[in-house]
Amino acid sequence: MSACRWSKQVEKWFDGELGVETAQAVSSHIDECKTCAAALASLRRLREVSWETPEIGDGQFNAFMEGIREGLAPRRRGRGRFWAAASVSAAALIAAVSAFVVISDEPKKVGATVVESCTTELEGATVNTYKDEDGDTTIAVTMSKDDIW
Amino acid sequence: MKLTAISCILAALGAVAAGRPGPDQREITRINVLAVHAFSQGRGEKVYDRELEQYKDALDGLDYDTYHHLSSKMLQAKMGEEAVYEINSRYKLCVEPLSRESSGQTRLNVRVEMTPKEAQGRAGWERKPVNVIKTTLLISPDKKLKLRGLKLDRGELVVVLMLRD
Repeated sequence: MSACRWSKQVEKWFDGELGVETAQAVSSHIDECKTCAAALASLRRLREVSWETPEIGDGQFNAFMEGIREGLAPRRRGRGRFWAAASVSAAALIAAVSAFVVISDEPKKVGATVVESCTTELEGATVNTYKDEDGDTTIAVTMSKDDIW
Repeated sequence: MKLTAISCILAALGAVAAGRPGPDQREITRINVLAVHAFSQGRGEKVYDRELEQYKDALDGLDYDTYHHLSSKMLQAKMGEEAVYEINSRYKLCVEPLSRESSGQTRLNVRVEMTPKEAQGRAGWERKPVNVIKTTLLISPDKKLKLRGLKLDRGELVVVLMLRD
């Protein structure tokens, strides 16, 4: 859409800034010029939209400005620092526990089987202990030949 | 940030809990028990039941030619509590874990209780079980303990115990 040389006058006419005679001339021009008629329609739509925006009353103004100030003010970092420190501590704890578990899972050296005491309550029987070549332990009882056993 | 920190703390607590041995791990002792009837039939070579294949080395030194698998069981016992395994009508194996040492060994009381045969015609005979073997020992998880010399049907009963980790 090419601009009309009357377009500035149309805006002034729309805002009520022109004298009576000039206003009548602009009004007549708008009736004949499609470009200025379209520009006028745009100005009207713009005004309708701006009317729909809520207005801030005098009573709300202080609260409105306080909200803006809070939004612009730098954030307080006290709590953020606490949680950051807690995260770091927890991560360190996980690492320490993991290291402990890995280290403690290393195979331990296991001692050989040790017989601390060995007896029998069977009359006439003896008991002996010995180790074989593999390091396994045997406890052997020698029972009497009495057939009651 | 707050959610991340809480997640990390929970994860850390979980890791601590996982790293500590639970009461079951610490207190329950598991022991594999194998009961074998060893006897001789005048064979030229030693014959083992199929179930005894992995225990051949433990039985090889005995002076018998036939090895018959009687039973096997995994005994579970808490520290200070005696687990009883009735091998047959004459023999009972009783195992009581006493402590677990830092070396990996476990201290056990082990008893083999025997009930004598019926003593027919013997005046005053009481058919009371006796501890034919009574021992306290420190047993290693990777070693076998063999109890032998227990009379059974013209041969003997051999009991092999192996501590499980």
